[in-house]
Amino acid sequence: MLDSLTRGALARPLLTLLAALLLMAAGARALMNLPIDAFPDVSAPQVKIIVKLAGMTPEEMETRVTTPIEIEMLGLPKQTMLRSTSKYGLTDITIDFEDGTDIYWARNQVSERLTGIMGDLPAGLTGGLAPITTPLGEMFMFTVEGDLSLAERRGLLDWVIRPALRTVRGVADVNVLGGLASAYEVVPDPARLAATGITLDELRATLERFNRNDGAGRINEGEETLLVRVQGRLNSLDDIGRLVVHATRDTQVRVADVAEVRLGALTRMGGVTHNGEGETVQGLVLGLRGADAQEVVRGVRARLEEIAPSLPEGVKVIPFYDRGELVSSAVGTVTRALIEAVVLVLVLLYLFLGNLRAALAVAVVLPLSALWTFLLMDFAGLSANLMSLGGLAIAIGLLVDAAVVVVENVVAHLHEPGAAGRPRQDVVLEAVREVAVPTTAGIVIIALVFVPLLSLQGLEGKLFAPVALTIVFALAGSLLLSLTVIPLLARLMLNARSHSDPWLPRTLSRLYRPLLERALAAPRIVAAIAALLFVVAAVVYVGLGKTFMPTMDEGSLIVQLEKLPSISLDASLDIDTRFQQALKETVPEAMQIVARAGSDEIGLDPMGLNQTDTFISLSPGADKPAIVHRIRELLAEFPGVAYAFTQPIEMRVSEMILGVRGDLAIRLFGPDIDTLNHKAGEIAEVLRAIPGAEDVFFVRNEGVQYLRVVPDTDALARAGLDVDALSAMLRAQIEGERIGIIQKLERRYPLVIRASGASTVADDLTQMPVALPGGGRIALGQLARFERVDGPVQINRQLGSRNTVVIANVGGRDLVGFVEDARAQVLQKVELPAGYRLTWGGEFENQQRAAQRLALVVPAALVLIFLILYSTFNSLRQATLVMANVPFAMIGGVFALGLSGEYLSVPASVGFIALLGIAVLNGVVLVSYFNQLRATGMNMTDVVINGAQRRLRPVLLTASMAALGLVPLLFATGPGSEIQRPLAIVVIGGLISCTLLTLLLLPILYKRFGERSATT
Amino acid sequence: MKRVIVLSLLIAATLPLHAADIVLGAAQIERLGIREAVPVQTGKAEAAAWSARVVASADAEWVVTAPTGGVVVRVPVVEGQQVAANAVLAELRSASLPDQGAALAQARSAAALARSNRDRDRTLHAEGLIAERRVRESENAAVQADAALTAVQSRLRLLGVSAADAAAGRIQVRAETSATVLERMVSPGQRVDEADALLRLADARKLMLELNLTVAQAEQVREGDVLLVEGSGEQAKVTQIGWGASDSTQTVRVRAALPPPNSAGSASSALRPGLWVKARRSQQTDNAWQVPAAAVSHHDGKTWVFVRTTEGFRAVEVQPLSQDAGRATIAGALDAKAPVAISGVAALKAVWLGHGAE
Repeated sequence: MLDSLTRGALARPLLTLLAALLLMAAGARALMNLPIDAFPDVSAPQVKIIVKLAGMTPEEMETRVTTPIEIEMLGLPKQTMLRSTSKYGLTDITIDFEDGTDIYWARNQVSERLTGIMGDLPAGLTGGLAPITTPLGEMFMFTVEGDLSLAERRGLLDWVIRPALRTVRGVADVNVLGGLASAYEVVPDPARLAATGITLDELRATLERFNRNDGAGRINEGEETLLVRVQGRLNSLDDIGRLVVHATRDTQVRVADVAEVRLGALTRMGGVTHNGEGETVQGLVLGLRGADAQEVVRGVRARLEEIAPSLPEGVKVIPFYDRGELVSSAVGTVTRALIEAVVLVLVLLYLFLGNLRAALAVAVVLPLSALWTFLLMDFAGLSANLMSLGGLAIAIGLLVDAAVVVVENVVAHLHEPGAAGRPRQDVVLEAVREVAVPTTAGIVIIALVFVPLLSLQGLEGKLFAPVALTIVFALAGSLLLSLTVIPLLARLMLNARSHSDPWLPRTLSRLYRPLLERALAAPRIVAAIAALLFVVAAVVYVGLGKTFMPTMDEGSLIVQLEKLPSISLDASLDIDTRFQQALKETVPEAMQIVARAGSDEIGLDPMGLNQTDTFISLSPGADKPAIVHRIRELLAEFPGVAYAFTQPIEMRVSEMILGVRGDLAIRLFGPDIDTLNHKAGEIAEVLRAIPGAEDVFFVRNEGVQYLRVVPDTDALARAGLDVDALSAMLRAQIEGERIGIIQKLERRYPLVIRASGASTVADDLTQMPVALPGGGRIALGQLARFERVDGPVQINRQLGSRNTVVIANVGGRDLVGFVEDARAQVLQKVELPAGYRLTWGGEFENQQRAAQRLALVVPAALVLIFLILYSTFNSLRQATLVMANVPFAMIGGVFALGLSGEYLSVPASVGFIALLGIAVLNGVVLVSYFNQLRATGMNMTDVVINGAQRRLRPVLLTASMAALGLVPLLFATGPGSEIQRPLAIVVIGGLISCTLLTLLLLPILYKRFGERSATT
Repeated sequence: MKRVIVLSLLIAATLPLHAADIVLGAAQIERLGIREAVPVQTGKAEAAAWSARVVASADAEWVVTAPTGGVVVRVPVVEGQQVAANAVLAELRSASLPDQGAALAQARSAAALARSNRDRDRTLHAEGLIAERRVRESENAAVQADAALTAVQSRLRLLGVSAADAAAGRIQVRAETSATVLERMVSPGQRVDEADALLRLADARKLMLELNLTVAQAEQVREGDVLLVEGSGEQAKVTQIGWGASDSTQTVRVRAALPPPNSAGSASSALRPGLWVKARRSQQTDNAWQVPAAAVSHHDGKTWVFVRTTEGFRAVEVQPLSQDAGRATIAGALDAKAPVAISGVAALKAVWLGHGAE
């Protein structure tokens, strides 16, 4: 079959070349089409429900809103996780679905159940399903700057910029943070209300009923018609003030008589500060799930330019985060490495083959199989990202293998005496036929070692499946091309001019022979050295640090600050500003600093007022670790402020996986918030004492101050009031109540009843007069008792159970070892009451899961390879011999890791897997040639020496090309390089040891164990 | 012994959490934006504000009644109007008034007749023409006729009508002193009986505060205490503390007299009867301090301020006396020379509670 493929290609050169051109065109088109992103989308299908109910405390939210929704959602099909966070005025429920679940189907399910229960939830609820985005959907962030006031800028963002950007293709929504959302406020004066005997209800009803436009139909007027419109909508402060609340024969009480009507702002849930200059307004573009980041950002930028002339004079939109930039620089890193690799490989080919035409013929396979890979990626729906392009980069060295073997053999055959007389087509065909089977077996083996990666689950699966897939695609392409296009090119391009071996292989060969002879003379010493190295490598391996994934440098930095839970927004923003000012002094590399405290408008990331994400975009080339160190020192001057460091994507990824951020996340489940707090504190204490612990942190779920109002039911009954009326009154007094909309042109402003708002003095509340239904008035303090108490910040639930989390990052130590230590110590030192339990999660969880999965799949792959070897050699003995090569290949990888100080991470493991394939391939090349020579009846020693000598060139060539192909990744800097580097280190290190041992140890082993007859 | 050890261990365990001293360097203080100010000692401690209603003083309110039955013709004053002494408040027309005029004329002529009879009889008696008894009789008749005349006259005067008016049947009700009209109780055209109330008047200069206080609050108040009216600066003196509680609101009524407007330095024009105001009880004390409201923080059910020390700050427990949006009055061991933190207090509290500490 392989034969006919090559024959067909050679017989119809025009068609083959046309097909190749077609492949290039299609590949190029696929490359244009490929969505480009920094990371593969690792998020599971996720539906978020965000519900807001103004003024509700976390516990109220939990019992009245979260729990009923949770109960309804718990039975959803294909659901894998249900998490919720109930906070002040807001609840955030996240439902994860199985991978591969259609997001629209999932949303449908959720929305169906939500609709069913909405009726039972408290009135005044707003919100629902969050936009179809993923936590990684934060594509573009900007601030609006100019001479306008905060409220005006917020209005501009809300009513001009946001609607414009929402229609950009791929934008799910535009989140708005900071500023002041204007609102028309009616501020009732309790004293005047009480004096006139008007209740809040009456005031509210008046404002509601008079603020309405309506249509009443059509009137015929002669031959024309009139449309009837009732225009009662209020549209100015005076309109509102003039409304009559209560009229008797001789008096009219107007709204303005009992309340102040003014232009104010909605209660703020958060704020944004920047560059130490105070508050600003921020917009955040959320990409639709699966949208191409670069395309979205391009669209957004274009739209912003479009609307720029319509913005008021001097107002500017200043971006400070651009996912597109990150993507292009990450992809650029890989692309650059890819191009450099191609050049290196080309140079190497020339050096080894000594024939530019041959080198070029081989090199053609590189772009062609790359384009082929893009074509298949497009079919498979993969996006071009760090991981998939990285896979291609790994494959570069392997891609040329098949072509090299084919071309080299063609060259050899063409140079054979007598070849000149025969038709070139036949010579080429014969040469190809000779190597077709071993080449195919080799490629299949290498492809096979990557298959285990496809079985990975969870985050690592989503990250590394693209790597494996692209490698398999590329290898398949290279094989196909090596058997079709490459022979044709060889036929067309190569000349029959004979020449001697080039300098490099000649020199190597001259050096190699005495070495091999000496090794063969002292097999025991060589074996002993190899065994020793193996043992040392094992020791080094045990000492290697282990981590899940190297951290990708995203270029930007986030410093998370956490202040006193009961802090006010203004005080919180003040500390933020001070921190930024200090930051600007200490870190001149910071180009833009934007910090958001509290919740965003949609509620996708509902942080508390005391929590701040300080976003620092650094100038290119800034030394990040040093900066982090400087900031750490700076933060020592901000006592009382807890902090953590992260990066934009990293933060969202770990939040998404765990609902929290950190290497290790210990989740404590239990019913009582106080106990949870207490025990979490103990656990944190234990963790802090363990070496390597950094940033140990638990959300102390307390410290928010509550003014508890305990109604005196007797007093309420005497007064003819009830608790409902009491709380409605308090809410109107403090939080305010939205009762309608004032529409001005396109802009819709809420109309709010609110008294003194947050500036209410707590003690004055007790004196607030309340009008009694039967006339008369009473002080609020007589109806209820007011107490100050501490309470929870928020209530986190997972699968319907309350929990709290202790988070730790690990520094200078491997993660797994740390976790084992922590487990033992926590178990020993922290006593949990009945009904409380712990789960251990965090990055280490992914690492463990990956390790378990690989422990199962890698042996399976080895067995499969063994089977292929067995079927190739038809000898158990020789198959074992080749497999014996594998452990020695690992030696170099382990040493290289140890020397470079990198940790054993998933990319490094992928490197070992690649190594395995190359080692096996080298063994196959050598052993199969030994067998060929042996078949000619040569004696064993000659077979080994001659065979090894003859095969020196291909073995060195494949190994050095695979290694050199990765060298650019080794030295690459820029986002994404951190992930590829361990892989490159392992493969390069491993190839050195592997090649050396293949060339020295394998001949010895073959000589000793190669054949049954040799031993008997 | 064992218990002592356990106890001291407990104390040792809780101490780090609530150690009052907060060690902060100057750089940290600056970074956190902590500003300081010295507390201001005040001799007066003001308690929380109570709402009070301004009413006319109990002895400064009266009612103008109809002098006679009739129809109200005119009420030329409106509620809230200031009227001068002798100003016309209302005009009545009464059908019985002309009769009264006639009665006066009759009484006058009867008195004149009786007097002339008496004089003639006296002369006659002096001449010995008539008996002593006759003289006595006519003298008595003259006294009676005079008395009858006086009665008729004073009745008319009481009605405030001149004879001419009386003859016309018109009565003008006038103000006795300058006063404020609180309420018009009748309207023109209305028929009133004699002594029916027409208007409620009050002396505008005599006002008082009425407060409804819970029993617990009322217990803090003594007669003679001073209540400070917010916004106007008036001081009212508690004159009466009610005894019974109101049925619906379960409160006790407390009254406090406001000083008359003419007394020095007051601008009582701000206070009108019917107005609701806020009043704070003011007490003499030597341990009250005024600080910005932001300086005060709450923790563990107690109130604290942070006092500057050489190493940083110290949390000092204080008793809150009153607080409004801007200022707080507290009592506690403060010193006029030791500044307290007035901003960055939340940050300071975080340090104090060990927030964010590794």
